[in-house]
Amino acid sequence: MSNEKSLSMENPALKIIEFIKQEILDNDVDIDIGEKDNLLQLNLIDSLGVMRMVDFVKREFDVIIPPEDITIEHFRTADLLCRYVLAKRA
Amino acid sequence: MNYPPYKDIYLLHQTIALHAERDPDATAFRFQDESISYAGLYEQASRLSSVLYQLNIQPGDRVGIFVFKSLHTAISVYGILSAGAVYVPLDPLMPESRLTRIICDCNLEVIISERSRLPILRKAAANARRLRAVIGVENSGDEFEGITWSDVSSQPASHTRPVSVVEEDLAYIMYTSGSTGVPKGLMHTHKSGLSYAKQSAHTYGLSPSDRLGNHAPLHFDMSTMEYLAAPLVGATTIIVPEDHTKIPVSLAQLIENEKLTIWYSVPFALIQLLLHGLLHERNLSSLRWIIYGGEPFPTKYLKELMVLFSNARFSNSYGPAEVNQCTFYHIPATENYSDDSVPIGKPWGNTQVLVVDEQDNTVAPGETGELLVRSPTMMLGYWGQQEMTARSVFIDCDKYGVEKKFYRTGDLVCARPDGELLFMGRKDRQIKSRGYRIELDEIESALYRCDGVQEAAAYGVDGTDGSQSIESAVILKNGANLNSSTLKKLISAHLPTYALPQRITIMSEFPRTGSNKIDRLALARSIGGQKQTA
Repeated sequence: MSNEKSLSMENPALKIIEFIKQEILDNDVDIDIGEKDNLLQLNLIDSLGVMRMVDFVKREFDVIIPPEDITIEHFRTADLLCRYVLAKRA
Repeated sequence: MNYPPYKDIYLLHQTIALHAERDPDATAFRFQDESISYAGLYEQASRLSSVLYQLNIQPGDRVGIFVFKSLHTAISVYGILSAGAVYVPLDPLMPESRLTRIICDCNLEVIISERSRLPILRKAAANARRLRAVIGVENSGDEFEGITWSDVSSQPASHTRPVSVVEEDLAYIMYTSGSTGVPKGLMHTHKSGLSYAKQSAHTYGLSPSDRLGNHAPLHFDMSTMEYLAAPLVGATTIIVPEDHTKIPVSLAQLIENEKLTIWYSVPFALIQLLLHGLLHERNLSSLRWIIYGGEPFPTKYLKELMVLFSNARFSNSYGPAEVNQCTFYHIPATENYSDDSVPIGKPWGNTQVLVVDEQDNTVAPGETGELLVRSPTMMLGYWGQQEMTARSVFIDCDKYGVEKKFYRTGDLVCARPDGELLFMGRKDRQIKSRGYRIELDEIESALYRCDGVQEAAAYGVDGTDGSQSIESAVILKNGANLNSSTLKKLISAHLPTYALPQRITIMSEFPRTGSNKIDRLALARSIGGQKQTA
């Protein structure tokens, strides 16, 4: 694991939320997204947004999410995705 | 098929009373791990109707349903109907301005909602002062009274209160986006809703042992299959949570775990399942019907799905929300598909269709014209829009002065030699470019034929010369090595030169409507007509 990658692990949930605001919601700075908000129910990410999150997690955290792990258990909230990423890196 | 138990039913909420008596423990609705039986639904609906009486809701009054999917969705529908009132489904994610507009438009004094919607309800209540009570939230000294679900449950269930409602009375108002951007409310009656439920139950042979997946949200007209037709026969509806609809692997798990027998959705949901649902790892043999509607299904995906779901029959359902549904086409397993789209089929029972030209004269068989529909499933009209309602119908008057009222669908169809109707596009999806008449759907199907294209949309862009030009956008499959010039070359093999899009924009996603249809208007607005960079 490179130094660069481990630095980026500071507060992954916030990084995930930042990515959703900037990339998926097209730089929507006004929206307030909590770590435990249901991203899917609130339509903050849709099925195509999920695919972009998978790319982002690979790029940002060096974690490859296999297709069978792309489930609501891991993508419902930023907090759940963060836990998944940390577990995969442990 | 014969339905002796249903012959005396003429109001929508009589269906749950019937099954509460005949098979009280049968599951009516399921959501996540919770179930409600027909007896339970009948009890809860009666209690809710008591609360509505106490709030002085009269027969014909409108009551909003502003909740995310849950068992409360079903209880709300039947509680409101039991009170003789009219339910108005509201998208829980709609912005405050639209909510306020609808509250004022159909005079909603009571809304059933939930705590998470309180901030937006407070804003709406400040602007639309008529809102006086919200059921499903605690009383917190707001502009409106709050009534919790436990308050509702502590009510006595009174089944005997007489309500003066007949089948011609309103049952629900469904708001759709109007072409002008102003939402319009489609008024459906007990008669139109029940006529739809009966035809649907008959067409797909619904039975008490069926388990229907409710994919569509309540505010989308496709949900009437699960909320109205399933309770008619005493079947079980599994309400699919919003988050499952966004994650194909989880959706496929739900279909397997809940042993769904009937699936009904827009093609988009099925295509996502096919592409990302890991269907090979699932046992989905419980499905006996896969019904789609709302827009055409790209045939290459349909073919792949039919191979994967070899136990299920596939059916294309068709009908604007104004008539619920009016035609169907059961897709033969053996049909040798070309890339022509699948027919929308023939009218179902108790329904007459006409195919007419611009002068409302019936066209010759095989010619394209607008589809007009006459059926008891038809809406009463648009709420508060008499002129718009009048424009939407065609009155055929015979020499004795007897009138037949048809709904103008705005959809173009033509009949195959075997009588099956083919959808030829929207009347307003046909554009003229330099004098040529062009079907945008034709361009999309040409793009779909290209290997590597996942989704395609074509739209007209107003040019400076008064003519329209065609542009298009595509989403590529992962790893597809295509650019716009190679795509243009590929589709030029199928299209006349004048029908080639001026530009093909490669995108990672499309704007979509609430029901996941491609929002071509938004596409045209966002990228249409922009200067090309290359």
